[in-house]
Amino acid sequence: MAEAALGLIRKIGNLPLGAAFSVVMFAVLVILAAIGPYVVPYDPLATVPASAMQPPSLTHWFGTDQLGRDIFSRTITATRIDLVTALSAVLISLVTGTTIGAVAGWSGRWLDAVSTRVFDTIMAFPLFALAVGIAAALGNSISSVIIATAIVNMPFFARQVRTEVNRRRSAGYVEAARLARIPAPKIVAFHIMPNLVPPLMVQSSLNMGWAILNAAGLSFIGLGIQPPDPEWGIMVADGAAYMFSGEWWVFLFPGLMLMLAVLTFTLLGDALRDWLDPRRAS
Amino acid sequence: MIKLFSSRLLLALPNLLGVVILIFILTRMLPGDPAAYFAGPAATQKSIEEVRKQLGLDRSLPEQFLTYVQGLFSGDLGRSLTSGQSVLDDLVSRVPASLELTLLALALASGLGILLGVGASLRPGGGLDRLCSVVSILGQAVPTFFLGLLLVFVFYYKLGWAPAPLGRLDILYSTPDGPTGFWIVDTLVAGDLDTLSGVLRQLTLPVVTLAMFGIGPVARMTRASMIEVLNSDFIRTARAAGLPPSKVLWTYAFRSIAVPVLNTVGMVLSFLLGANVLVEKVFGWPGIGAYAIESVLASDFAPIQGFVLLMAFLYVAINLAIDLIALSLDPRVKFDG
Amino acid sequence: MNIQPERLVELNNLTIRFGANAQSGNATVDHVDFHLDKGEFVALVGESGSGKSLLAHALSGILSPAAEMKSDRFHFSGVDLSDPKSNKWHGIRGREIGVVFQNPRAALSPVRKVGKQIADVIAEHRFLRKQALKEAVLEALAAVRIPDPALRVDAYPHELSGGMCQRIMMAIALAGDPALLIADEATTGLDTTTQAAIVSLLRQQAEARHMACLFISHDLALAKDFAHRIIVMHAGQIVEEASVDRLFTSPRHPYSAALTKATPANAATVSELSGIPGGIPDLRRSVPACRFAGRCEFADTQCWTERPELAGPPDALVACWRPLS
Ligand SMILES: Nc1ncnc2c1ncn2[C@@H]1O[C@H](COP(=O)(O)OP(=O)(O)OP(=O)(O)O)[C@@H](O)[C@H]1O
Ligand SMILES: [Mg+2]
Repeated sequence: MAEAALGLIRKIGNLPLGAAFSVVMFAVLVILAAIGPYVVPYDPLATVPASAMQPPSLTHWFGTDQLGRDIFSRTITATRIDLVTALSAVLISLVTGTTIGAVAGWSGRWLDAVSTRVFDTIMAFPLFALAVGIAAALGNSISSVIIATAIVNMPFFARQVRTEVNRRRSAGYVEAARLARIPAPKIVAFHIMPNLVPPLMVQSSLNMGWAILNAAGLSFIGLGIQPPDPEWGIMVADGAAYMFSGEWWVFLFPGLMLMLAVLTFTLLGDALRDWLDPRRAS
Repeated sequence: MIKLFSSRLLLALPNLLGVVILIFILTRMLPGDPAAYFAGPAATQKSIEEVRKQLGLDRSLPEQFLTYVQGLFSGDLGRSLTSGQSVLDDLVSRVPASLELTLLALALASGLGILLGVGASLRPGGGLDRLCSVVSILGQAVPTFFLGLLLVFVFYYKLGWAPAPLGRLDILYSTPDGPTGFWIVDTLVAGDLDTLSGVLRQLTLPVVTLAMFGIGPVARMTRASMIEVLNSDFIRTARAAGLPPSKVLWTYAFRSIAVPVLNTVGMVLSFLLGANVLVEKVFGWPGIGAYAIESVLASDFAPIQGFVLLMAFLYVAINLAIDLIALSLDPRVKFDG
Repeated sequence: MNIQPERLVELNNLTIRFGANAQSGNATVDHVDFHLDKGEFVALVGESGSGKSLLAHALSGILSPAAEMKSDRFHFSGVDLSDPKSNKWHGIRGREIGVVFQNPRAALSPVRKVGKQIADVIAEHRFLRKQALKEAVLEALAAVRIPDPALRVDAYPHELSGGMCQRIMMAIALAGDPALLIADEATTGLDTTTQAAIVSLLRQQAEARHMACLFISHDLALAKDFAHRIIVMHAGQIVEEASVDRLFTSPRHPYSAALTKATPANAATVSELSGIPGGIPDLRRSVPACRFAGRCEFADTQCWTERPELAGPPDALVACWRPLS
């Protein structure tokens, strides 16, 4: 057991710096999302007016906010909601994007032309502005933030799957499967898709980073998750006002945590890409 | 030129139409009764019915779409419930603030990105190259609003170098009153250097914040294209012909990759237009992004719809401009429908 | 006429190494001596990969930084150029030495009008501006026999034919009125008529301007027509250097013999040669001292262990332990 752990540590130690960092941080984030709320020292929602606005100390590592809530506990607790929001969005865009991309890439013709056009339009559009519009139209709730984030991320998956499916449509093994009268959906699902898993993993990791940013940005401007629930974007927005009276810790720590989370997924995506396709590694 | 321009415009139309359809669908997707939504939270049953008629919501969807498009063509974007003004007027009065900020940030990001990318390409693996990767990774990972707040904290609160993040100009100055709404231009035209310095001071932090996110992509594209082109035959010719290194680097090497870099700049601009919303919020900037946020929080949908449409319009216009610049930069670029 | 010709280039013991061959220690260009008199026409032939272009790049000061170059002596018109980074190269590169490359369309900037590209070089070396510069560009175009120069100045390379681009590049190479013109496979890839036109233009210009010319080619027939002296390279070594007549009538190195005898016309493009077994040795592995030994029917142990020096009368130098008589 200890040996296996040591082996793992040695393996991680041999990775390039960015990759090692992302693997370790990824594990930390997942653990925090899973058990964070149960192990934090304070109730993230409990207001203690007597201890409001205390700077970081041994009792309150990240200090307390204007209502005396413990910022460390809130920052850790927020991991789950931020990651789950982003993950839901990415899963939705992965599933819908892959489906649309596969159908478009397989059928070709006008369906392909139209969907390519639509995705090009979406991708070239100022994405955050689009997300604001969508989230506003769907109403101010977490689910609309998730859907908005999913819509702006979907084209990245659809495009990639479309290109790959289109490219492999005439490959030998696909022709063979077609001659064997295997129905098209089966060919796509069982003969083509397995090849796409690695690039889609890379794409998902990169999109996780963007989705976290997107969702936090939306909540920063007041869309989606509402106070008093702890969420990094809201906490930064809340803390911004107190910066001017010198209480920097209120916005700093959730912001750093947010940054760290995005960095983790961005670097993880890069590391996965280098690992899966060593030729592209620079 | 005019022919090219119009053919490009024709190509852009489907995109614009796509966005209009998207927005139309979104407005019909509004939860609950769209008429009630558009009438605002304080509406009575009667006024809701009125709005329904007014919006034509009692007719069929295709009919509704036609009226909707007609309305757009006549510049009717509806009325803001919060300001009571026509949305078009609101947007027009605010768009210069946003554009001044975004375009300056774009210029800064492109300039720094190109310098960094060219520098990195000269010595791959060297110091500048490493700086290039760090900048582009951080640009992807640091949240816009967080960077903005950090800069405000350090340069305004701690060091006192920057002015308070409260809009385009300190109240000490009188508002520039010029034709363009771009205050740098307006103060320059009026020869009011004092106010100009105030405008620039106010612009610095938001511009830097926004620009930070554009440097990475521009630098990476520049670096990759430069590395490729520096090994090309025509650079060897230019060197063998004894042209000075700076001429070989810029007039020959960089000039030939201007188009891919320009396309990246276009992509970055699209990104900055979106990120602008957050920067405007952080810096109290009275632009269209801040306007959109206000409207979102007030559940005032007409302005948001106008905002998204304006974004679509800007994006189409900008891409058109970029295509035309690309055409003038590279004789090989041809318009293929 | 019995005037002692004047030395233009004197290059002794040139070696060029790359990191890729660090393990085997083989130099890619190995112990090469090269000299050229003013106004002399020399041809350099050899298989693909034999180091002809590397030698040309070293001579014109444009070796890539990846190449590590060493020489005992490298003088051009009495100027010491052995340090590729020396600022003495300024004023020589492009001005005293002009180069014409192969694949002319790729060798010109795709986004700059050809007239501008010529103007850049003329302005750099002849310090002309404005109207004078414009006229000089038109003259330069006329000199390389481009019809309608006034029309062509505003063309881009992709709008011109390959032959036309090659003439443009020649105009660039001639812009500084150089004392040495290097043509590195300047006719490869062009069709036969264009080739002939380019070669005759090259000769005419070189003669008119009293330039020395280094003509690098795969095409032995062209080399034979063009040059006074021929240098044969193999795997980075010079194997034979002789006057055209002697090389074609009585080659002394087995490699040159195979080259010249390959076709009835006594001339073949090197790349088509089938008479020589094997290919150029892989320099990443260890190679025989005479790098031709592995392909030579006369080779013995000495050939494998001792490098033959280039020796013999000035018009028939050969580097071989078992030269043909
Ligand atoms: N950067 C490099 N690293 C390692 N080896 C190199 C490098 N550049 C050139 N070489 C080697 O130098 C050798 C000579 O190349 P060169 O281009 O001079 O040949 P050449 O005689 O001009 O051939 P060709 O007829 O094809 O033009 C080649 O075998 C090549 O592998
Ligand atoms: Mg060559």
